[in-house]
Amino acid sequence: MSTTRTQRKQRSLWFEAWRRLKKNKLAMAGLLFLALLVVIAISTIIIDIATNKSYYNDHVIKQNLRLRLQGPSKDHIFGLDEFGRDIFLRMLWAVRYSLFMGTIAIAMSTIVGGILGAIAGFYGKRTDNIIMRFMDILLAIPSMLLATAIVAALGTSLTNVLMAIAISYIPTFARTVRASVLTIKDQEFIEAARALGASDLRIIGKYILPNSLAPLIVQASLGVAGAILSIAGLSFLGLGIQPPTPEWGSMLSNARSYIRDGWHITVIPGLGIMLTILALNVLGDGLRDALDPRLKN
Amino acid sequence: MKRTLSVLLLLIASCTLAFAGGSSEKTGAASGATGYKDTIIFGQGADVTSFDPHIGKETPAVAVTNHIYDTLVDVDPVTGEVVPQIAESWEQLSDTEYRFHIRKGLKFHNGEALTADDVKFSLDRAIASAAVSYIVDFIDNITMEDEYTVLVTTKAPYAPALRNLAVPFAAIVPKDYVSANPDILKTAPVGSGPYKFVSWAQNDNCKLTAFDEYYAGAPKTKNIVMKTIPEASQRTIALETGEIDLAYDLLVSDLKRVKNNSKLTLFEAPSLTCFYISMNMKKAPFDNKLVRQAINYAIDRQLLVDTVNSGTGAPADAIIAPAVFGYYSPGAIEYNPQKAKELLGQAGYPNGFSCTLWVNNNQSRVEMCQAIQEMLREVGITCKVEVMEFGTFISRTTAGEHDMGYFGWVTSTKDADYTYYSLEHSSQQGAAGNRTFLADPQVDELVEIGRTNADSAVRLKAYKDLAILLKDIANNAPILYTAITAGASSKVENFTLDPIGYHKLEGVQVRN
Repeated sequence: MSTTRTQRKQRSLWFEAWRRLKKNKLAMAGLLFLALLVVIAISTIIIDIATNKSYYNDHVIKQNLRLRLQGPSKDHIFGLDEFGRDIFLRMLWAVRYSLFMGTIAIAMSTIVGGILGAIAGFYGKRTDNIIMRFMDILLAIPSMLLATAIVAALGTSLTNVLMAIAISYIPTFARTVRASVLTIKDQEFIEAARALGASDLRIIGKYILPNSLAPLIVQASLGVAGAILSIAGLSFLGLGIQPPTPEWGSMLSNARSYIRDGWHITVIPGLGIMLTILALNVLGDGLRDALDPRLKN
Repeated sequence: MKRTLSVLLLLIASCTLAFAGGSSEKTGAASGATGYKDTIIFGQGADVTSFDPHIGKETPAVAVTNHIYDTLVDVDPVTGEVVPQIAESWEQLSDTEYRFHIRKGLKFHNGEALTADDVKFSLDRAIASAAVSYIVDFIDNITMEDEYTVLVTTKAPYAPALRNLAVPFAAIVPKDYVSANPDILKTAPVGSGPYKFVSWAQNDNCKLTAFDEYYAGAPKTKNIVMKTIPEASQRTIALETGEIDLAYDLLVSDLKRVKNNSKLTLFEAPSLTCFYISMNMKKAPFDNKLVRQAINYAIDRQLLVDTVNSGTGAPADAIIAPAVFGYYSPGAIEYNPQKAKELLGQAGYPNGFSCTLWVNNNQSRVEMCQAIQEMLREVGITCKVEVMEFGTFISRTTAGEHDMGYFGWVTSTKDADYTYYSLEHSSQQGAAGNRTFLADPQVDELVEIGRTNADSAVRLKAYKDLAILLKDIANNAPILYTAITAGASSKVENFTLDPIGYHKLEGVQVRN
């Protein structure tokens, strides 16, 4: 009886947040843009599977050197790049790397960082000190530098780039979660749970983490933006996704020496990155406002 | 309070303006009344690797140190003839003996006199240096006959001996100065060349000033400043804005822009560099000649030159450039994807195979590899381009870990032996240059004939047979001969391109 009531209450809390978010036009525009990207990413993956990559081979990575750097036209609305490849198609095919890799990397660091932060915050004392001082060490190294070092040491591959970015974001999440755990763990309902004989694992998993989810979600949505930028940055430096696979950062990097020959080949991937980051940031801001009842008008 | 603040701000602003004005006037006044500037500023893509001439053999290093050090003899960049430098004359006594007469009264920048003792010391030092030994290791012994005469004996008859001695890494350095501290040349280089070292700010600039006691007369312009500008497009921009007078090694896509700019002059000449793909014959499927030939047929070299290289350079048909002594064209390598597929079928790979192509992180090289990757894909070969840092690239290809690697090679001596010996002889596998790991007795024999015969007719015949043989073995896929380029302000006078990239500036002047 009591559990159903709390669940209904919880659902309505999320519903409230969603209602507040809907009122924020900017955040909704960001959400819409991201939804569009997800649709694009999924459709390109479906096309690849359905045609056994033949469309990808014949259109996306197909070079036409004689037509290189051609500007936007009816056939190629974003023009052709330095190898005569269609930039529009490459932009679409690149979405999956930026979006999904950013999401997966942040999901990984959210899980690891969340667990570490919860343990540190809940147990306090020496455990807290050991975990958080280690996080401080990681935090002291600029995240981009840390990611670059990890990739340089492990070699360039999709998984290594993911790992590198995930590791570099762990401290942020650990700190966020620890902070909210510290405020929650002394509240009455935790005391009540403890009095009823709930185990530590149950308290953390069932009562503390769900209650510290709001700041984590906000942090994650902003983190994805950072991660996408890091992936693009690593690719720009030649440490990320290898040619001829299209990726926004590497497209931008390869295009930079042609910036005076064809404006479109740098501007378009740059705009792609910019709009995605902007969408994620406005969505993150919107989420923060929606999830924090204290900020409610 | 607010008013005092704004007054203060105004004061600061006016002060800065005054200072800025003052400094710009000062630079304007520096140019003399001769109508020429007293400083040449040139920009290049990389910094000096080492000021020690027996270590820093990379082109950007030599482009600077070449002004500090002289060699026994020199090669005229225009005629290609061997001309005197430190040695005023020489005679060949036999197939293996050369006597050099050293110019009298030569001085190093620190005032020491240059004698036969320094020559012997320097050549011995170069032979002992791991970095440049290969250029002088044909020498068996150097003996001083008197203070101004040295006798160089070679291990075996070696036709390109004089040209090797003209390569800048066979530089002559002061014996007493260097033997006191063997590392001194790295930070305080002293030579006998037309310019003296002044200062070096790593990865930024290097300054040289004229050596007034130079034997051929003091250089025309008092100072040289080298600026390191890694991004090629930035070099072009610096040239356009007048920040530098000369820009070396322009981006191919910028050449047209420089050519069409009335304030700039474009210098372009065929270089001695060939770019090629080395296939590792120790690994399957590259141990199969048919596969190697198929890869050669699959590459459209003319298209690469026309597009990726913006129309500069020429498709390669051999591993040495046409300007090199001993070049023979075994006929252009045909672009025939159909034939490539057939050969792959015969070799047992009707559906192609997967492999990797390694390249160092130089943008134009990576672009070339990406275009080649696409051409290989069209004949069914799935090739992954892996970009790595230059040091890693060299050490891993030396160890033979690669499938294919994209390399560039400059025939610095302008003699075929330099390239054929290093890249094709079985004794030179790995670090020395043979990264296809070719070990073919017939190739070795032809290389040795070319190396040890003094008769140029015999040598040319050997190199002709070798070129034909190598086209069939197809261990390397020659891609293109590049052009050597430099952009100059149209106020620059007397600049001549050196086909290797060791441009000399002692006769160059820049009008005001």
